[in-house]
This record gives sequence, structure tokens and C-alpha cells, in this order.
Amino acid sequence: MAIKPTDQEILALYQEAGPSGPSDELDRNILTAARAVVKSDSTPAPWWPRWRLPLQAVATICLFAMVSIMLEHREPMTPAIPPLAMNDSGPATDQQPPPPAVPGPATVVAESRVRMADQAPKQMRSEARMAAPAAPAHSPASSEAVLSSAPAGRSVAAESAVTVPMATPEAVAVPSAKATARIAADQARSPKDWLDSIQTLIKQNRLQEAQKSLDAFVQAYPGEAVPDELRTKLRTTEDGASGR
Amino acid sequence: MLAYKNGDAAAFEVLYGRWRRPLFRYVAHQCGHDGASDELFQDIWLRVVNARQQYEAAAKFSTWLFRIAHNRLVDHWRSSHRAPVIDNALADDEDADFTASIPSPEDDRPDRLAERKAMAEHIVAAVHSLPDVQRETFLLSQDGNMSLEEIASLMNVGRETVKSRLRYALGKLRQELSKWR
Repeated sequence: MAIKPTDQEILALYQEAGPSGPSDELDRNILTAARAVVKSDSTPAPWWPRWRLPLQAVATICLFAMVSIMLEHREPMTPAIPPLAMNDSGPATDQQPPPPAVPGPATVVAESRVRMADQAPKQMRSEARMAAPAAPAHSPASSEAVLSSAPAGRSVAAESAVTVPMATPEAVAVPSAKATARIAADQARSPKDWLDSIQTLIKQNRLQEAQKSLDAFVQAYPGEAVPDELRTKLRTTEDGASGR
Repeated sequence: MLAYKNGDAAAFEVLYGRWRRPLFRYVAHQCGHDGASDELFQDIWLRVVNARQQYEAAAKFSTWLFRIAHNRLVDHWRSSHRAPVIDNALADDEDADFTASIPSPEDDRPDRLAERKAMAEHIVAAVHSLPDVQRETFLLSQDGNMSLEEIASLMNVGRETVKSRLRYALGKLRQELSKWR
């Protein structure tokens, strides 16, 4: 577009007039802002944002591990059958009593079995009394099966697991630590030891206890032969006591 | 601008020194020389600063700068509920070019030189009275030193439209000048 001389004069007049430019303050503000932006761009980023993610991951893993360990230690002890697989000929006195456990079915069975079996020792007399009503619940059929199948040296555990029925509700009491220890001790005793303890009771003239213990022994070990001399002693002494 | 984009603050100062006056005149003639023009001027430059990463050397810096200014002014007019005056049919009609009848100045007589400043102010006032699109075309051409094609691209119109608007704007200014004389 060709500009006429008049147009040139107009343009020249236009350039002469009007605002010459922004104020100094405006210039300063803009330049300061421009420099600040460049400076912020060149400022190196702090070190910690780079490590934020790895640190979070490590902290999470540590926390998870700690919680897992804590939960593992706080888990309740699972009810376990105490080590009962022991032959009559095995060492009985070395057995350690099992730790107290929440009564589960296996524990209840073992307990009732022991209550029926061990009535001789003095410290177990009360428990033997509680276990006595539970004895009739013993199924004859199952007893027969046990008699026919169980060898003389059978383990107490196997017997208790197969033949002993559940005890009556009153017999199934929550076992204390002491009772649990007693159970383990009784289970460790062999028939011979049991008979010896009955013999000892007779010698101590604790005839009633000896009789009850013998009854429990017969129920617990129906196939075990009771020495005639023991029966005779008890009968004689009982007759003597009743005669008097 | 590429140097500033790469972190050279001194490069921005060079650019700013070169374009501060044309841009300020462009803004001031568009919306009046008051606080609003100062605010707009600063805002335009801050947009330039913040948009430095998007700058590409596909066009002249002045074209990019005045495009930002144009968009900012459009926002300003929109927010102030002031719609730019659209060219009317008469304004774009070349047959109605009445400026051709305006006489050119006879000569530059010395007695008129004293009145030159007053005439210049009168021309500026005449620029302000132009329709918006003609004024912007004139300002982009004079202050932005942009070609017809660049102005056409910026205003999203055809090159001939820009040429016509520029001619009408100059005709009106010539008419105002003749009135003065």
C-alpha cells in the first residue's frame, strides 16, 4: 500500500504525539517479575522431593513388618493334643506337662479320659469324683471294640481318641493350669505305677481312696489284670472296717 | 526470546526495551491512557513471561507479542461489556472512499510548525475516534510494525480486509487533519 505524502505526515504526527512509554515503576515491576521467574527456574529443586517416594515405600514396608510380627506374637495358642503317644514301657517321669490351652474337643476327650483313669492319687480325688458319673456314659459297644482291638501296650492317646466318649457337661469344666498339669502326669503313668499307687494307699490305710482308684483303674484298663492279692486286701480290709 | 526461554534474563531486558514503547502506545490508544492501560500493559508482559516455554520461533517476536496483546484486549473489552465496533458496510466499501477528496497539505510552512504539536494531539484524538477494528489495524501497522499479512492472521480476517481498514483509517485521519487546517 503506497503511502501518500499526506499519509506520511499523518504518521509522523502520530508518532510524535501520544504516550511515550510506560512509567519507570511499571518497567521495574515487569523486569523484576521476569528476572524472578528465570531465577526460580534455575534454582535447583530441594533434595527431599526426590526421596519422598522411596522413603514412603520403606516406611510402609517397615510398618507392615512390625504389625505382622506383633500380630504373630499375639496369636492365641492353637489347641493341640499333648504328646500322648507313649507306650507303657516308655519313660513316664520325664514328660513335661503341656502348656495351658483353650479346651478344644481333643483336650476335653483327653481330660475326661484321664479323670476316669486316674482316681488313685490323693491330689486327684476330687476330680475322680466328678468323673465318676461320666463313666456310665461310656458305650459298651465301643468298650468292646477297644477291648478287642487295643493291645496291651497301646498308647493312651490312641485309646483316648478312639474309645473315650465326650464327658458329661459337668465333667467338661474349663481346666485350670493345675488340672492340666495333673492330666499330663496321670497320662504318663503306666498301669503298673497306678497299681503301685493303690498298693501304697492301702498301706497308708486310705482304703476308700484305694477302692475308688481301683474302680477307676478297672474302668480305664478293663483288660488289665488286677492282682488278686490287691483285691483280697481291699475286700478284707473293707470287711473288717464294715464289721467293726 | 529463545535466549530468555533458556534462562537468559538479560535477553528479556533487550526485548522489553525494544518493544515497550510500541506496545504501550498500542494499548494506550486502544483503551485510553489511564490506569487500565498500565494494568493491561503489565499483564501482557507477564503473559509473555509465563508463556515463554510455549514460544517457538515460527514467527517474529513482535507478531507473537501483539497477538498476546490483542487477545488480552479482547478479554478486557469482553469483561468491560464493551463490544468492539464492527466494520459497517460503508467502511469496507471501496467505492465510498471519500478520503480521496481530502486535499493534501499545501506545504510545510514555518508558521505551522508551532502548531505541529497541537496537530499531533489532534491526530491521536482522531485515532481514538476510529472504529475499533480500523484503529487496531492502524495501531498494529504503526506501533507493531506488522505487515498486512501478519495483521490479517492476527485479526483472523483477509489481507484485503486489512488493507481496506487501513486505508479507511488513514482517510479519516486525513479528514481530521484537513479540518484542523
